[in-house]
Amino acid sequence: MLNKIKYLKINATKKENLLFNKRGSKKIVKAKELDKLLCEIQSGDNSSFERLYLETKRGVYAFLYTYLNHHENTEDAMQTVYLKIKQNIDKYRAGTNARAWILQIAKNHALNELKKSDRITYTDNIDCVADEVHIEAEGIADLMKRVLTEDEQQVVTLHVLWNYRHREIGEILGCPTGTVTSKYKRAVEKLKKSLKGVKG
Amino acid sequence: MKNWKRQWKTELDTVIPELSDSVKNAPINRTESSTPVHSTKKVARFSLKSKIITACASIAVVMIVALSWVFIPIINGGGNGDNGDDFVPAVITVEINPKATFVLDENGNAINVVAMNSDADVILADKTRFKSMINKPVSKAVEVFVDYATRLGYLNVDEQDAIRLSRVGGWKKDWNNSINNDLKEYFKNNNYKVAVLNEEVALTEFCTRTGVSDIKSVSDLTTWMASAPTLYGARDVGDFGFEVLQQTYIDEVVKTFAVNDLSEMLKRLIIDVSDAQTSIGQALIKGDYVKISYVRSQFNLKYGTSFRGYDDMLSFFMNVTNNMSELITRILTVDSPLNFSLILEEIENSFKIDVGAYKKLAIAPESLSDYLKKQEVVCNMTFNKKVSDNRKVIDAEREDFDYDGWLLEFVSNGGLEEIW
Repeated sequence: MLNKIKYLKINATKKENLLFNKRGSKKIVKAKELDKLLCEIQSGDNSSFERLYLETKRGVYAFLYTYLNHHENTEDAMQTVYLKIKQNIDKYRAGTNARAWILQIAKNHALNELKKSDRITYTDNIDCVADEVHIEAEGIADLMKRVLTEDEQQVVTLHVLWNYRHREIGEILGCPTGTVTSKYKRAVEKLKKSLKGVKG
Repeated sequence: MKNWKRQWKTELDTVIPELSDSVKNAPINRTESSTPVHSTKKVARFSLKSKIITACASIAVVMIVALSWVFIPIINGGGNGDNGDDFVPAVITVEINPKATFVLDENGNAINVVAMNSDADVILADKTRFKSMINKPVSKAVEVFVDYATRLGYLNVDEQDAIRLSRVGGWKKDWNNSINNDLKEYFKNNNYKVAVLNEEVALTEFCTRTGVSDIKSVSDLTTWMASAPTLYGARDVGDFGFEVLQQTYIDEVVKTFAVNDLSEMLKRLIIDVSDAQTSIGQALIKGDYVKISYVRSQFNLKYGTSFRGYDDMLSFFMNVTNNMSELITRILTVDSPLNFSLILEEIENSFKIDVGAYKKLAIAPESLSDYLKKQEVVCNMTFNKKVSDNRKVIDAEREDFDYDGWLLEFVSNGGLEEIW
C-alpha cells in the first residue's frame, strides 16, 4: 500500500518527496514482481523463468563475481544458479523474500565453487587479448574489483542492482546499518575518485 | 554520481551471457520435496544474535526538526488524534536496527514498549532499562531508547545515519513535535549526524514495518501488545517443544555465545597482562609502588582475581603468558555443556578468575521459565559488552557543526532513501 504524500511547502524541493515515494514504490513493486514470477515458474511457466532471468541477471552476475573474481567462472556459475532455481523452485514459499531466496542459491553455489577450487583467486587479466569478455578500457566491474574490498563490492551490488536499502543489507550481511552506510559511502567515494583519475 | 551506475549496468549487459539451451529447456521441478529448504516451519532461535557485533565506527547524527515534516506522508483517514472525546490509541515503532514499538495513553505517555527484533531484546531485557521508558512522555521514552541504541553501537555516529519512526492511531501534533524536538536536541548536543524519518502511516503499512500480522485495528494492536511478552525472543517459544528449545540453547548460547564471549575475554586478558607488565616495569624503574598497587587492584576488579601481593601477581602473569593461548584454542572447540563446564573449572582452579556468569550459562535450561531467564542473562551480558566495546566511540570529542545545513544536504543527496 502506497502512502499519499500531502506535500508540505518547506524549503526542501518537491523532487525529494516524489523521489522518496517513487523509489519506495519501485522497490516494493520489484520485490512483488519477483515473487509473482517465482510462483508462475512453480506452476510450470517457462516463459516466466526467462523473464526472471532478464530481471535478475545483472544482480546475480555481479553478486557471483564478488566471490569468484573471474568472468568465465562467473558465466558458468550463472548457468548453474538458474538451473538450481528451476530444480529447487518447489521449495520457494510464495510471499516470502524472493530476492533473498535467489541470492542464497547464488551464494551457496559460489561458496561451493570456492571450496572446490581451494579458494584459488582468479583475477581477470584485462590485458589478455584472448579473453572474450575483455573490455578494452577498464570497466566499472573491474574497477570495483581493483579499488573496493569484497565487503564494499557486496554492499554496492546489493544496493545498486538489487535495490536493497542499507538497513536490509545490514540484516543480510549481519552488520549494523551504519556500517553498511559508511561502507557504501566509502565505496562510492573510491569509485568516483578512481573514475576522475581515469578521465584525467 | 548516477553515471557510473548506468555505465556499470550497461557493461553488465554486454558481458552477461544468454541462458544456455540446456538451462532453458531443463524441466521445472514441480514436485513437492520432503525436505524443503525454505520451509514455513519455524526454526527455533535464541533471541539474541550469537554473533557479537563489534563496535561501530563513530556516528555523526543530524536531526532535522523542520525537514522531518517534509517526509511525513499523511494518509486519508489515518487519524489525527484530534477527534473530540473519542480516544484512539496511538502507537509508534522506532527502527534503528533495534526495533521497538511504544503504546501511548491519552496523555501522550508511553505505557508499554515491546521489542520487535532480537537487538531490541538487548535493551529491554533489563527491568531497570525497561522501566526508564515507561510512564514518561513518548518523546522522552523514545529518546531513552535511542540513547541506549547509540551507546550500544547500533548507530554510526561518526558518519551519517538515519532512524525511522512510524506512527499510527490517534496522534496529536504536540506529541510529534516533542519527539522531533527532543531527538534533535539529543543529537545536536552530542554532535551526532543522524536524520530522523518520522512518518504517519496506514495501519497495514505500520504492521508490515513493525512485523506483525492479523491486526485489523489500532485497538487490536494495543491489545496484543498489552498481553505479548516484552522480549521478541520470548514470543514464539510456545511453538516449539522444550527439547527443541534446549538444543537451540546449547547450540546458540553454550557452544556459540558463551564460548566466543569467554574466549574474547581471555584474549583481552592476554593483552591486559602484557600492558600491565610494561606498566609495572616502568613503575619499578621509577620506584612507583603506588602504580604497581593500582595495577593489582585493577586486575582484581576486572577479572575477579585476588592477588595477595606483587609476587602473586607476577606468578599469575607468567601463568597467563605460558598457558592461556592453548586454553583458548580448547575453548573454541567445546562441543557440549559438560565440556564447557570442565574448562570453566580448570580456569577457576588454575587462574583463579571469576567465571561465575559462564557457569550459569553452561547449564542447559530445565524448564521454559529457566530458558527465558537465561535469555535475559545473555541479553544483559551482551548489553554490558557492547557498551564497553563502544565506549571509546561515544566518549570521543566531536566538533560542533551546523547539522541543519548537513541534514539539508544529506536529504537532498538522497541520504534517507539510501538507508530507508
